[in-house]
Amino acid sequence: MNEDIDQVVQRTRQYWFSDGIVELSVGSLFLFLGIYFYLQSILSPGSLLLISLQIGFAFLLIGAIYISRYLINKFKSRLTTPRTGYVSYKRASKNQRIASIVIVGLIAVINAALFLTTPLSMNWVPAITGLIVGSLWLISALRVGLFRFYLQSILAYLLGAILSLTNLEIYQSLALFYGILGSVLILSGGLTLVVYLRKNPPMQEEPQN
Amino acid sequence: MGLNPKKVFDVDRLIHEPARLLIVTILSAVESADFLYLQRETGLTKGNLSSHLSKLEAAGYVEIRKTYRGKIPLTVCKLSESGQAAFSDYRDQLKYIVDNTEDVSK
Repeated sequence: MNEDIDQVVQRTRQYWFSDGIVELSVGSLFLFLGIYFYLQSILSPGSLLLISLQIGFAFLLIGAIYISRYLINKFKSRLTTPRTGYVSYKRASKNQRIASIVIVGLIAVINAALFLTTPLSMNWVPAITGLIVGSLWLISALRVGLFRFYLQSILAYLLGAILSLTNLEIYQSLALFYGILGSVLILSGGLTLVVYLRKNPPMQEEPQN
Repeated sequence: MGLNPKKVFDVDRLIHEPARLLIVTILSAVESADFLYLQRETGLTKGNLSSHLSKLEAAGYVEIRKTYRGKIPLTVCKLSESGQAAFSDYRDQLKYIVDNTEDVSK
C-alpha cells in the first residue's frame, strides 16, 4: 500500500475500461453503422433493400445496442470478474445528467443553425458527427482519465472535419467516419484486452473468503 | 485559531486504520465491489481483508452480501449510508486538523 490513495480511486474509476471490452463493443457498433451507411451509398434509390434499411434503421440500432450491452456483461462475467473482480458503479448524479442534456441540446442547436444558415449544410454532417462522438468520448476521458480516450476523441474531431472538407457524398463520408473510428476502437480494445489477459491470468483457486 | 483536542480524539479510529481507510475510500467511489477486487487493490491477504471487512460490517459501515454473477459466486461489499456519513465526517475532521495545525517543515 505504498501508492497514492488517489491512484487507487482513479484506477477504480478506470476499471470498467481496463479490459478493452467496452471499446471492442462500441467499435463493433460503429463498424455496424459504417456498413449501414456504406450500403446506403451503394444501393440504388428506391430498391427494396434500401427502403427496408431506412425503415428498419431505428430497430437495427436499438437491437445492436441491446446486443452490445448483453455481450459486454457476458464477456465481463466470463473474463474480467474471475480474474480481477467485480465493480458496479454509481448512477450519474442529477448535475451530471443535466450537464449531458445541456451538451446534447447545445449540439442540436448548433446543428440546426448550420442547416438553416449554410447552403452547403450537408457537408457539415461529418464534422457535426465528429463533434458529437468526439465530445462524448472526451467526457468519458475527463471522467476516467484514460489517455487513449483523449486520443480517440481527437481522432473523432479530426476525422469529422477532414471528411467534411473532402466533399464526398454524405453516406460515403459517414460510412468512412464510422468505419475508420470503429476499426480504431476495435484495434485499441483488442490490444487492451490482450495486455489485460496477459497481466491477469485466471485465478487458480476460489477467491472468496 | 487553535486546535480543539476533542476534534482530534473524536477521529473515527475504525476508519482511521490505513487498511480500512483504503477499503472505505475504494467503496466510496463505487456502488459496490467484490472481495476479489478489494483484495487486489488493497494488497491485503484474504484473512486480513476478511477481518477488516467484518469490523466495518459490525459497525454498520459496510453491507456484505453473497451473490452470483452468472455462475461465479461473489462476495459483494457496499458502503452503507452510515458508512458514507462516517467517511464524510472523517474527511471533515482530518481537514479541520490539517487546517488548524502548522506545517513545521516549512
